[in-house]
Order: sequence, then C-alpha cells, then structure tokens
Amino acid sequence: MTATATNTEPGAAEVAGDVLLEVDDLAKYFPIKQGIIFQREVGRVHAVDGVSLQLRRGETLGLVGETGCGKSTLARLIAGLYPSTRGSIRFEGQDITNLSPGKMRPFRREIQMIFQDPYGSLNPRRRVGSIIGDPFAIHGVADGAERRTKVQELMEVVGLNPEHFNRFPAEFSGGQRQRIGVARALALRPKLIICDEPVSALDVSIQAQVVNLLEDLQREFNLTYIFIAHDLSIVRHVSDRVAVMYLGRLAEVATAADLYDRPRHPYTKALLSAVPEPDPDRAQARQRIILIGDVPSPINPPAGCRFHPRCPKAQQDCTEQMPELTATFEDDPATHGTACLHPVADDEALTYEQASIEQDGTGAEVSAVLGHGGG
Amino acid sequence: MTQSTIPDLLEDSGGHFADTGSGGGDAKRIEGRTPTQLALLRLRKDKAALVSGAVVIILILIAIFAPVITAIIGHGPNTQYRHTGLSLSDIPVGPNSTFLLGADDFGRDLLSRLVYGARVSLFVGLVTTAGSLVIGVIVGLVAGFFGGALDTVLSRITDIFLSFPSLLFAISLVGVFGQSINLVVYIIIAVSWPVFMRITRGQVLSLREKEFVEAARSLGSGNLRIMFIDILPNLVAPLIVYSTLQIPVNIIYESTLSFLGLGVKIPTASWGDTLSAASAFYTVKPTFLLFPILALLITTLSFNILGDGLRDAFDPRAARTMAK
Repeated sequence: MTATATNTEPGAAEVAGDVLLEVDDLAKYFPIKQGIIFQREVGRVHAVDGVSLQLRRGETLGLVGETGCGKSTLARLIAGLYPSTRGSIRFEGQDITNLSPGKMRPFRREIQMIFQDPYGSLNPRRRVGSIIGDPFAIHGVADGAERRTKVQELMEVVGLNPEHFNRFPAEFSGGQRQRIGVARALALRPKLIICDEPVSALDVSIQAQVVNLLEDLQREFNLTYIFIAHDLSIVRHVSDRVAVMYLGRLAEVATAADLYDRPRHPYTKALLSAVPEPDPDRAQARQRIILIGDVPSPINPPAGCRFHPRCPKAQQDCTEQMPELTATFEDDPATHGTACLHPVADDEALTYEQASIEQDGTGAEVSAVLGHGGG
Repeated sequence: MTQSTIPDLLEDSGGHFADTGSGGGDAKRIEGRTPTQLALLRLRKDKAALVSGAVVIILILIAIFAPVITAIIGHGPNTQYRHTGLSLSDIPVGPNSTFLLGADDFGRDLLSRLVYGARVSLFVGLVTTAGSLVIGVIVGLVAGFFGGALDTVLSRITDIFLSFPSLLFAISLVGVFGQSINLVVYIIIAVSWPVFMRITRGQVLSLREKEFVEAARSLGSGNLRIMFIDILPNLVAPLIVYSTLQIPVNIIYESTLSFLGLGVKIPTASWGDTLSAASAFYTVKPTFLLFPILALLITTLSFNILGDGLRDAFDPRAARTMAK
C-alpha cells in the first residue's frame, strides 16, 4: 500500500491483508540530566533503539520482553504520547511521527490505549460515566443525553452494568475497572488498540475474562491489537504474531506458533524456557536456560548484538555487527525474522549457564574458560 | 444524594458494592458517593468540628445581619454616647443594661462595634483566602504541570513573595497608598497566595505522572483540559482544608494591621482597631479589652478546629487512628 513496503519480508503483505501500522527504525532516547539550575545532558537511556515492525489490519501482535526492555515506551511512541528521537510511524500510510497536537488529534481517535494499572488509569475523582464519556467530550462527538446513551451502550458492550454510570472507580473491582478502561478505549471506534499489559495487574481468574472480552471485541469491531505482556502464555493465546524485545530492540518476530515451537534467537529460547510449567513431572524433565548476569544498562547498551554479553552462543562477530531481523534458516517462513548471527537450530540444546563471551572493562573477548560464575 | 439513609458507610473511602456484571436489581439503591461526600459523612461524627462549623455559620450570619442586630440593640456602631457611654473622667463604662458589653473610648456601643467588626474580619478573611486560593492554584497548576524552566521561574517568584517581611511590606504600602480595606485585602493576598501555590504545585507534580493523565492525553485532551478537568478535582480536598486553616491566619493579619493603624479607615469598626483602643484601658476597664479578644479568639479557633476536622475527614487513615 505504500512505497515503504520494500523493506519488509517478501510476501508478507499477502499473507494477512493490508498494513495498518508501519514502524520504521523507531528510537526513543531519554536524556539524563544533571545540574540544579543549568541542566546538562550527561547520558541517554536508549529505551527503544531502532525498532521496525508492521501491523496488519485485524491481527494481534504480541509484544514480550523483560521489564525495562522498552515495550511500554514503544507503545507510547506509537500512541503519540512521547515524541520519537528517530524513525517513523505510519498509520494507514500517513506519517504520524511527531505530529503537532492539532494534527495528531484525528489519529488519536484511531489509536487508543488500554493501560496496565486499572487503579491508576482511571481518575479517582470522576464518575465512570464521565470517564467513559471523555472521548466524546474531547472530540465533540456527542453531548448530553446522547453521550449518556452512548456511554451506557459501551458499558453494556464491555459487560458492565449500565446503571452504574454515576459511580466512582473506587467502587469497582480491578477487573471491572479494566473493563471501564476498555470501554473508554473503545468509545471512538478506533482501528488500533494498544494494550499495555492490560491484565498483568489482575487476578488470574479475572485475566481470562478480560482477555476473552478483548477477543470478542476484536471480532465484533474488527480491531487490531498490540498486546504487550510479560506473561508468555497469555501472549501465545491472544496473538497472531509475537515480537520479542530485548534492550530496546526486536530480537525475534514470528507467528505465535512459529515462535513458540521454533524459537531462533537464543534470548527467545531462554525466555520461553522460563514459562512456568504446571505439570510437576514435565517441569522436572524440562531444561531451563538460566542466563547469567543482568540486562545491561540501556544508558550504555553493548555494541553489536544487544544480547551478546549474556548469550551462550555469542561469537566474536556478535560484538561488532548489529544483526538485522531476517529469516535465518532456509525452512523458516518469510514472516519469521530473527536478529541473530548465530541462531538456534530446531533441536539444538542451549543449556550453558554461562555467556560465551566474557566482558571486561575494555572490551569483549572470546572465552573458553568454564570455571567462572555459572550458578 | 441520599446521605441520611446511609449514615454508616464511613469506614472506607470506597464502599465496595460492585456486583460482577449482571447486577441491576438493586442498582438504583446504591449511588456513587464522591470522596467529598464521604468526607462530609465522616465529619458528621466529629463533634468539635460540628460545633466549630456552627459557630462559623453564626458568625457569618451576624456579619450579614449586622445592621439588623444593631437596630435591635438600638446603638449604631459609630454613634458616640458621650454622656451614657463614658464616665465623667472619660473612662468607657463596663457592661450594663444599656451597653451590654460596655462602651469604647469614644462612648460607642462595644457590642455594635464588634458586630460590625465581624463584617470586616470575615470579609477580609474570606475574600483574601479566596483570592490567594485562585492565584495560588493557577500558578501552582501551571508550574507543576509544565515543569522545567517555567516551574523554576514561578517557584522563585513564589519564594520572593514568601520572603517578604509582611509587616514592613504593609507599612510601606499603606504609607504610599493610604489606608483602605482594599489595600488590606491586596496585601494579605500577596502574602498568603504562596501557601496555596506550594500545596498545589506539590500535588500536581505527583498527579501529572499518574496514568490517568496519560490516558487523557492519549484520548486527545489538551493541556488545559487535563489541568482543570483531570487534575484539579484531585486537589479539592487539600485545598478545602488549607483554605479553612488560612482564613483565621488572614483574619489575625487584618486585626494586626488594624491594631497598628494600617488597616481599615477610621471610624470603620474593626476588632484590631478596638483592641488597639482598649489596650490603653486594660487596667481600669479589662472588659473593654476582653470582648474583642474573645471575638477574635472564638472566630479563629472555630475556623482552626473546623479545618482540622476537615483534614481528618478527608484523610480516612488519620480519622481511623484518631478513633482508636
């Protein structure tokens, strides 16, 4: 649909309809400032650093990664809540990168967000009716009785009692509050809803309700979702495709089935091995990949592949080259992109408890020493 | 709201009546109560605050109906009764059947003076508090919300106002512009708005980071809408409390100015002015000094106790520890 379709995997567009959102080399650096009166920049947090992805109409893209890997920042960049440092965001072919508030307004109707904390995202001093009615008020869509009717319709759609429109958020449970957040996001019939960990603050039993609600709504209103979570099983359940983020970059993008069955990136493999297994026998038999160390500081991310200091498969070239998202094995479908120079083959076991490259202050060296760290 | 039918819902700020999804049958009965309403419910248990509130209301009524009251007494506030109000040696008379609280140094009825003095005190106290509230909230909202250089500039301006030596400031301004009640109001506003600015700014600094602000922004709300519709309602409780506590401070300040002859123009009745006159007679006529002091004391104490009660009412945790 646009000229920028050239940098995508061949055949990708035919697989699942047209592109709704296209993010190209998007980056967000937060400056770190010091000084009392005259503040100067002493560093930058590389929260998102060169993310490119495409979102097709009607699909759900799961976005997973550890805390601090830039998932939420990416979501807020797409929602236009932060200005981006670099890169572009195109929505239905139109560039919406760093638009002025006035020009962004029409797109705000199309891109909505559901927030993680159902307690913090609803104003405690305002009635539910006015919270859900806010989108109508802001965009001058409906007034008075008409707005109230629409609000009550929305409450019904998300499974709330429409009679409760004059209550306060404090009078609802966590799950119900998240439904209020969903109703608010749904009010203007957006095309894209970014769900920023919509269920991680909820009880497991309630999580299912909200996830099912989101799925029902997707069918009913033909919504496209970006679904951020760190619960891998929920992501697998809701997503058509899954993107794995590590330290501000995408490590791997694939259809949910591909990603979970044939992870190519060592980080994805390690991440998947951390999913809790409810069956104790199988849990015993399972081999967990325990990564050593912590996620490096996003203020000064490692050169080359972001994952190389912790990667059990890292080689010298990983410290120099920054891998691009591509299909890495011949039998991988074109939709399976992995940003790794030495991807994991299907039956390869990754049980080293140690990074293959050791870091010291000056640089990286290939290490053959094994009696180090490890536990 | 139907507060009277549900008197005992006060324990927590949100009665959890939410029934999952279907409900409906008894939905009408339960109405959403604002945190403010819940606070008022809690306030109704605080006897001292209730009495203080009643006294405040009576004082306001006295101030409003001052002409009626003086008409009933039969002595105007500025009428001098040189023969009945003063003794032969020009000492004001004490309380008697004609002058219920005695007379002042000009032979005027002290009760009438105090009744009219309530007008000045309450007018100044309320107007200055309202004025400094409006200025302080707007400046604090802007500074806290936008932050950065604007915040630094506005905060330093506030610091400058806070560091004014208030009495010297008043003396010099009265010296330039002459005595008037308007000037008193301006001076007190200039001295007291920084209080509200600081409270507001501090609250806004934390509120603007809340997710609901981000949610409002993602919906397309502009800055003004976020400031006044999303953030301001969250400031209501502390602002009510601090306003109530600021009123007596400002009343005292007006009395101080009037006591020093910097306040309202003579012969307007003012408690501070009466106190000043009475200070010359406290050895011979202590009641002359006592009654204006009592008026000032009762007024400021009532506002303070009411303010404290409101603060406890708006903070459920404080109320609970108090009860134990």
